[in-house]
Amino acid sequence: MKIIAKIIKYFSYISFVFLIWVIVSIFIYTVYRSLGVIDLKFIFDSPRGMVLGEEGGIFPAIMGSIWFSFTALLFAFVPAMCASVYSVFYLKNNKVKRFISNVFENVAAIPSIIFGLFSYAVFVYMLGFGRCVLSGGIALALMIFPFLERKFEKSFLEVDKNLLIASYNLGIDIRKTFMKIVFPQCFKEIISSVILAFLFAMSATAPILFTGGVAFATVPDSMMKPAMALPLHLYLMIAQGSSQINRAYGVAAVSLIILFLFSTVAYCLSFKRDKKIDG
Amino acid sequence: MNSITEKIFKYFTKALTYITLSMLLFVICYIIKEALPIFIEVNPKDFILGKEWMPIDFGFGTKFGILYFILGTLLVSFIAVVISMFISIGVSLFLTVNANNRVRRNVFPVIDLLSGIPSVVYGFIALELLSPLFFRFGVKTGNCVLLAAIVLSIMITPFMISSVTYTFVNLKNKYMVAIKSLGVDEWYGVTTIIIPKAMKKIILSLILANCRAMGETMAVMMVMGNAIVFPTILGKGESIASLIALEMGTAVRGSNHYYALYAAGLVLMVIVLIINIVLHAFSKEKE
Repeated sequence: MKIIAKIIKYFSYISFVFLIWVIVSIFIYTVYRSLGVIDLKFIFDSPRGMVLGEEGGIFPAIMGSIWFSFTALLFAFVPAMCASVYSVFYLKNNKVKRFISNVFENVAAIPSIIFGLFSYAVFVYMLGFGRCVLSGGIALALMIFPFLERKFEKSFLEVDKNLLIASYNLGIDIRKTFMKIVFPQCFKEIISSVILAFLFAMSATAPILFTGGVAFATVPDSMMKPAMALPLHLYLMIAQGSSQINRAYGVAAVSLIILFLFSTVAYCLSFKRDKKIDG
Repeated sequence: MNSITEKIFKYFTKALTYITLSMLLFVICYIIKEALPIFIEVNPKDFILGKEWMPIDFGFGTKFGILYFILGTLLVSFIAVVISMFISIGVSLFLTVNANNRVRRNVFPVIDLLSGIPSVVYGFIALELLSPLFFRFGVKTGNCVLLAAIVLSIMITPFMISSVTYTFVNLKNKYMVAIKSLGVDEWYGVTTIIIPKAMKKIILSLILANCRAMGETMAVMMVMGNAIVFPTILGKGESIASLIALEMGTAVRGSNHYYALYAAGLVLMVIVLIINIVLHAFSKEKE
């Protein structure tokens, strides 16, 4: 048994070092391979070339990704906020509460491509929107809704119960208590969750694959237009066998840099003790 | 005045909650509705257990059987979860035993970066770096189920680590003082007490992680080879999600092909939901 304990000890050291090595090397290697590719022209130009993306830049893809994610947030933020407020502060019936949270939990487990399928049938065809930012954005919204709802609910539940009780006892209604106490206290965390949800939507490809993402489009000027997206652009470059592999690394590096910057901001905003992992 | 705005606020949140709830249930119902027409043509049993997939009629008739896709999905996610189990138990033990609260709080966001990386980027890096390696070891074209599983295992590791670490830290808070005061080596205590006690919860989170792995589309699609064959570890395979992603663009709306793809999605969704519901019922019973 002592030998096994030793093996487990060293195994745990090795796996920790291994994981950190994987994370660091993914970022550093991708950025390293894209050196010389990323410049202002790469970021602010449209893609060109025999295989799209071999020349030019990726500006429409960056803007398209932002359009998709904003649309997703637009449709997911208010419902997620309302659902979490309602189930935390108003809903008293435990059975209903459990049912609602079960549905949200299970929807969170549904593969994202299913939302793509749904949006394809309903928004692209049945309602006739066609492939556009709106159809793709709604698919993404369905995907990020449970994530946002759970994050909001968690941050609301962490507000000091005594404050709430004091506020109710002073005769202040739930709406005002929420606006004056809960919301300001959770504000940073809400922003941080929104940023994480934005990144989540930005990194997803499956839901927009046939609902709004296309191989080439200009920067969309309305939600009814199709758009490019960063990960989709990268996928198509590889699938079409682009000979300029460094440019593919460039696209990957841009999405990793965006991820890194935004995650850092989100992390700084919600930095606080997570009691669950404190020993 | 006050009570009117309060009422409006209450009913607004209530209405939106139920609208969203019904929207989410509508998604599930609509997938079922779009899948049903294929089951008029094909017996559901044949659809799930059929081995041949010939969605377009080239003169030999069409065949819709998704057994190999189901097996591919299950195999790749199973291997991924097994690999991820070892990594995440190792890392979580390190974070529990060796790291203090400060280190733990700072390492978690770094590990969480992994879950934010777009799956296409994972697929791309695997194609670039790992696929040639597999090719050199004799795997045809370098793409195989094992490679996809390795990529998937890295993708689900952040989720695994956070839930396994919670379990370990709880147990450590409970037993570590006793272990240390008996003069036993920390790691001996971890091996004999903490890991066996944590095993049940680890298995639960493994199954949940398995659900996530099954739905992953892009990375798996890029490195699994996408051939309709019986999936083997070093051979090619195709998952349900990749099947949908690859063929949806070419399926004519209203054709059997189209309905069959929705039915494949339905099968995937049902597998995930059943596992999830059973698991939650099981873990609630425990508490």
